[in-house]
Order: sequence, then C-alpha cells, then structure tokens
Amino acid sequence: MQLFSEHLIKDHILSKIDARVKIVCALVLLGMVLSYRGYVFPLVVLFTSFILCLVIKAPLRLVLLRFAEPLFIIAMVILLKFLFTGQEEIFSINLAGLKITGHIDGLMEGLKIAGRILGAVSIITVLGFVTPFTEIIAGLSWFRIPKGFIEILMFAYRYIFLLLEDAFVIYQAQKNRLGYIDMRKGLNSFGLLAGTLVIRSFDQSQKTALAMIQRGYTGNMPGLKHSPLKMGEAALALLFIIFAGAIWMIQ
Amino acid sequence: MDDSVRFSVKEVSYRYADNTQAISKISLDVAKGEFIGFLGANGSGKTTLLRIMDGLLKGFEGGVHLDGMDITRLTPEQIYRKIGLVFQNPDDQLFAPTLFEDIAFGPLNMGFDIKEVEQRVMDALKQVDLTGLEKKSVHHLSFGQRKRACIAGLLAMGHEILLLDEPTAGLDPMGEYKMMNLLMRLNKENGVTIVMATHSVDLVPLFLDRLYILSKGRIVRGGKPEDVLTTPQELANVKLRLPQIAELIYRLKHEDNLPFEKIPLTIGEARREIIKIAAGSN
Amino acid sequence: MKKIFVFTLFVWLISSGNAYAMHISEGILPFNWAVLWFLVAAPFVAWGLHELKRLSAVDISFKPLVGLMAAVVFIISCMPVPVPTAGTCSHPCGTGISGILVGPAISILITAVALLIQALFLAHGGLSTWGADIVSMGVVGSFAGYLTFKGLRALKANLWIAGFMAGLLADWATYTTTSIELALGIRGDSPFMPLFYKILIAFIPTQLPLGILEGAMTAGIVVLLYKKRPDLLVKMRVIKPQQIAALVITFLLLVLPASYTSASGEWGGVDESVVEKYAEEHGRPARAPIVNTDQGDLLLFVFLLGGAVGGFAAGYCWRRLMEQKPCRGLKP
Repeated sequence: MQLFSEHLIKDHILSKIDARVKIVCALVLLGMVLSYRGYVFPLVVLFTSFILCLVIKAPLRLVLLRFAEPLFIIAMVILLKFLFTGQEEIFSINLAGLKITGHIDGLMEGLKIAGRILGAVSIITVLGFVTPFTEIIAGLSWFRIPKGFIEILMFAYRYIFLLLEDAFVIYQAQKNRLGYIDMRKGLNSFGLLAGTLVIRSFDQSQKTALAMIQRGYTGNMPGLKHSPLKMGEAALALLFIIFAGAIWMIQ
Repeated sequence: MDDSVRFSVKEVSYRYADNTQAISKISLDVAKGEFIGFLGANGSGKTTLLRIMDGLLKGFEGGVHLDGMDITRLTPEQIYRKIGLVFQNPDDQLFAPTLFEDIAFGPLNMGFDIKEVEQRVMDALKQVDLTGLEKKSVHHLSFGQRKRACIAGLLAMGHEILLLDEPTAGLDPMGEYKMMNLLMRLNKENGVTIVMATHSVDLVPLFLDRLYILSKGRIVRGGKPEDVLTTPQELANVKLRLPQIAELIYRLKHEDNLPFEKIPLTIGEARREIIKIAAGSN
Repeated sequence: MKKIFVFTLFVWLISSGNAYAMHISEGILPFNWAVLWFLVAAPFVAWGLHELKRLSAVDISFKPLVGLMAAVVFIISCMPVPVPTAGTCSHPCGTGISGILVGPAISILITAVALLIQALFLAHGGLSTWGADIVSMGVVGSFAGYLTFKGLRALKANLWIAGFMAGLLADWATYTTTSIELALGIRGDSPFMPLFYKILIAFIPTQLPLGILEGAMTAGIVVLLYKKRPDLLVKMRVIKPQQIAALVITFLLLVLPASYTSASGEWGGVDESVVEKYAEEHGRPARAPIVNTDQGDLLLFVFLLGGAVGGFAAGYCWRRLMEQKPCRGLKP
C-alpha cells in the first residue's frame, strides 16, 4: 500500500540521518519561512527542496501531487488579494455596472503569500519523503509529546491500512450491487460503508486490547529507550540552521 | 497434583452472553512437553476452550488449573509469564507500527532491560525465520509472515506453554508445512508445551502426540491420532473426515477388499502398507 | 488491482485541486497567527488528553478504541464525495460524527491525530496550520456536532434528523471558523470584515451543499449504529455538562478579543484617525475608493447574490438526494 510513500525510503544519505534531527531542522525552517517578510527566502527553500527531491530520486508525479492542492489555493489567494485588497490600482474594468479593480500592492502581497505557501509545502514534502512515519512517531515521543497522544497516533497509523482494505472491499461489494448509481443511493451506500467501518474498528479495538492484555499491557505502552543523538549530526543540523538563518536575514 | 501435568481442565462449561452454550463439561489434561490438538468443525468450541485456558474468559463453570494453581486465582501477570495464545487472525494481535516494536512489547512489559529485550527479539525472529524484517511495518508483511510474527511475539516472552488457534488456517501448503515444522521444533527442541486448535485433518497425525475431537462444545473422543481417527462415518458425524490417505486405504480395504492390516494416517505409513500388500501379492 | 484502486483514489482526491476540504493549507498563515492558533488549541487538546487518561484508567481497552476511531475518522475525511454543483470532489470533515460517537474531548484528540497524519503525508492542511485546523475542525466542529445532536435528542427529535443537523452544523461551523482564520491570516493591512465576507461568499457554492452531504452521511452512520450496534453508542460517550460549559466559555474568552482587536479596522483605526488626518492637514486628502463596498447596498447585494447561488446549489443538491428516481438501465 503505497499511500505513505514509504517505498521511497531507499537508503540514501538523508534517510540515515536521525529522524529527530530532520524534524527539528524542518520545523525551524518552517518557522523561518512563515516569519519572513520578503520574497527571496521561501523561493530559495523551494528551489533547494526540488533539488533534494531530484537527488533522492523521488518520483516527479508524486512530488507534483503534493503541490496540486496548494497550487489551487495559491491561485485563489492571489485572486482574492489582487482584486479585493490593496490601495494602488493597476486597472479597473466595468462589468455589468460593477467596477472590478486590480491592485498592484494586493497582487504583490498575494505573491508573497504564494511564495510562503510553496516554501512551506516543499519543506513538509521533503520531510515526508525522507522519514518513515514510524520514525516520526518515535521522534515525537523523544520531544516529550504526551504519551497518550503518541499511543493514539501509533494505533491509528497501524490500523489505517487495515481499514482501508476493508473500505475497498465493502465499496466494491456495494458497487457490484449498484450501490452508487445515483446520488441518493450513493450517499446511502457511503453512509453504510462509513458506519460499517466504525463498527469494524470498534470490534477490532476490543480484540487488540485482549491481545495486548495477554502480553502484559496494563494501560500504558512500555517505553522504548531512544538511541543517543549523534553529536556529528546535531552539529551538522546546527550549522544548517545557522546557514539558513543567515539567508533569512536578507529581508 | 502430578508434577508433569501442566493443565488440568475439569468439567468446564461456558455460556456466552447471548445464551449460546459454547462448551459443556469438558475435561482434559495436558502434560508437560506434550503436543496436543483440538480437532473440530467451526463452532465446536475450540476457540472458547483455548481462551478459557489462556485466562481471557472468566465466568466459566468448572475448574482450570495451571501448574496446580486455580487459574481464576492467578493474577494476569502470573498467567502471562507462562502461557500465551496466538489468535486466529494475526491482525488482531499485531498492533505496533514496526515488527520490532511489536515483538518487544511483551518483554518490555515483563521488565527486561533494553539489551535483554533486543536479544530476545532477535532470537525470536531467528526462530520463526523472520530475521532482517525488524524495521518493516507490520502491514507490509505477508499473511504467513504475520502469523509467524505473532508467534515470535510470544516466544520473546519465553513462554513455556503456547496455545494456538488454527495456526495453519489461510496458509498455502508450503506455509502450512513451515508452520508445523516450526511448532515441532519448539516442542521437541525447546520443550514448549503446545495446544493447538485446528480442523486440518491431514496435518494432525504427522505432528500431534494426542488429540481431542470436539463437537458442539463437547469432547467426542480423545487419545492418540491412530486411536481417534478410525472410521469415516464417525468423523462425518462431527463434520470432519479422515486424512485423505487414510480414507483411500479405508475404501480399498472395505470396498475393494484389499488385505490392509491397519489404516495408515500418513503418506509414509501408507507407502509401507502398500508395499507390504504389493510384496504379498507376488 | 486493489493497490491500483486505492492509489488512484488518493491520486484522484489529491489532484483534484478543487478539493474543497476545510483544511488550511501549509504556509497560508503567517508566523504570529500560526502560533496564536496553537495556543488556542492547546488547552483543548490538553483537556482531550486528560479525558483520555481518566477514561482509559477505567477501561483498559479505551486507548486502542480511540486510536482506531482516529483511523476511521482519517479514512472518512479522505473519501471523495462528489459535489453536484461544482462537479468536483470534496471530503467530509468527519468531526460531526466523531463528536457524536466519542464526545468533544476525545474527538478533538482524534482530529488532532488525523490532521497530523494528513499534513505529513497527504499535504492536506499543514504542520504550521495544525493548530488552526484543530480549532476549526476539532474544537468548533466537534462541539457543534455534539451539542446539536444532544440538544435535538433532548428535544425528542428523530434520530436521523438529529444526526443530519449535527453533521450539517459541524460542517458549516467549521467552514465559518476557517473563513475567520483565513481572513485574519491573509488580510495584511486591509480591514477584516470585508475580506471575511468575501471568503465566506467564495466558499458558499461548495460549502452549502457539502454541509448537506455531510449531514446525510452523519445521519446514515448514526442510524446504522443504532440499528446494528446500539451498545457502541453507549460505550463510547462520556462527558460532563459542566466541562463543556467551562470549555465553551474559555474558547470565547480566548478568541473573541483576539479577532475583535484585529477587526478594529472597522472601528476607524490608525488609518483614519492618524494617517488620514495628517494627510489632510498636509493637503493630500484620501481619495474615495472606486468600488466602495463598505457602504450599504453594494455589499448586501453581493451577499444576496452569493446566498442565492448557494441556496440554489443547496436546493439542487437536496432535490438530487431526496427524489426517488426510477431505476434506469436495468430494463431487459
């Protein structure tokens, strides 16, 4: 099931780096992109991310897919900002009695936001490609994210695939019996599908609990000790952050 | 209480919340190091019996003693240091994101330190032939691998008694063989007492020491495979059949009047019997 | 075959750039706003964790249950639902149904988990907007769904209707909150209210029918559970009214002043009282805007237009849903 692009985690240089280091770098970079006021920095980040994707041989289609939705939103935002905000007009058309005005400063702001979005999405995309989700979960627990949250995350991730398969089977079965031929029936079938999944997951949770109890579960997951952070990697991360910070300063 | 008896089940009955009588007055003993099977059709009560023996189902009538102690008086911890149940559906039992974490779960709960846990996990993986797959996500494993992963999870805890609910169900013929050989190794080389529920009649005589036939919640027959698997009609009554090779020889003997001395249950035995007959007719 | 199907499903729903899910995409919110929404979300998530601890101490199988519910909500919120008017697909929020099933506290937790997974691997929503999405979908959506359902049931409403309204209002409440968050985030120096209205209007054609679809789905699930497994409905929900009251008040106390002060563009802020005043004094008065939407009828007219379009879209959707058409295509 290639939903989570785990098949991409080949053994390249980036996958060997500790997940915690990668998470910290990504978050710091993200913060920088979001607090930047100009145009340059996010675009630099975007460019670098693309290069990285090429280096790790991420399938181009998958990369573009990640950007599909943000691109649409960018278009919307630019349009909104261009037409409805700002003071300096660049043109205005009369459309059936209504005046539509374009504002240059609105456009510029819209472009800034667009750059911000692109830069941010590229960071997360690369992070997703170079770190398996299980390592991210482990990394989060090292960052002292509450244990309860990590446990839920873990269960959810484990069983998503199982439930997806079930969903597929039920969907096919319904489709074979004309469950989706029109809007109303389709919605009905969909409600049935979702409801059945809920029931299935409830029962599954009971069975899982039973299996865990007989292996000693008393309500809390036992903690796995984390391997110590390699100094070399931490130093590299620090250098990277300083370097990025320097570029960030160019506002 | 005889030291060599690990399990003593006396007159145990269990009724589910919706009033189905799952098992009625079952009595049996399991000695140390034995390889026992429950043979029965679906709904015969095998799973219920195993769950009771594993301490997962309470509220039964009758007595179950583990190593001489009443199981209802034992704490979960006391039970689960000795005995573990492998469920029929591996997805009911594997819940951690990676294989390593799942197998480590038991030993960690038992309080071993991290080095010991790692060692146990690696040993368990080796025993079930899954070395090298520790970092894989559980859902990436094949069905057979997942079944073996469940066993590994219990082996890592060092259980002396293993209960298995239809361990070969859903496996391809090679997988079945691998699984049974694994269980045999555990039984003969490691001394693990094994109780397994199955309806795979062909495999049973190859591996089991003793066997109980269950039907509608009761024990119909118990004993060695050759004493229990005798006539087709009897087995058909409880929705089972003879091993295929036995059925063949049975029909050759009773319908075609070939002079077989006994009904063999395995291909190896059948071969010997046929060679005897062939030699005799020369 | 199966793999191809599911992969296509996700390719489809991701590449339909017009997937009007209510997630705020990564990067839209500037740093300050992103952080603020995290701060707003934090006490609610903390509440959810506290409830998780309390309830799992009583029932050892509770945590696996919550984890699996999170998986279900994730899957439901990834399913493509065709929107008849827009001709494209969108996704249900899923918060209405999860609010009903496990109560608002746990639902907030579940939403947070589902959002994290979506942000990291489906590029739905984002890490920086995690806080904002938790507030709009998790907090507002779950509460809206839960309170509506409970309220209507207390008034002895029919189960299907209660479920429908819960899903509908959860969706619409989420959409309104998201619009608020967006307007606050991208307005820059422009006034808040006009931008907020425009965003609201821009989404009406898709969100109105979507609310109805989500309502129908929620109702369907609730009715199915009631028929087949009523024990689930009992087992999963535990919440005290006082806790809800406390949290709603906290939320209002946190958010209203924040958006109030930034919406102060309406109140003749520094632009008018200082800048324009000095500009006038120096002989450069402010020009009247060319399209002055802030005065009376024009804005109302646009609103009317948007509402009419949305209303027609919703009505069309309703008709498509409710009309029993004879089954074509099976004639011998």
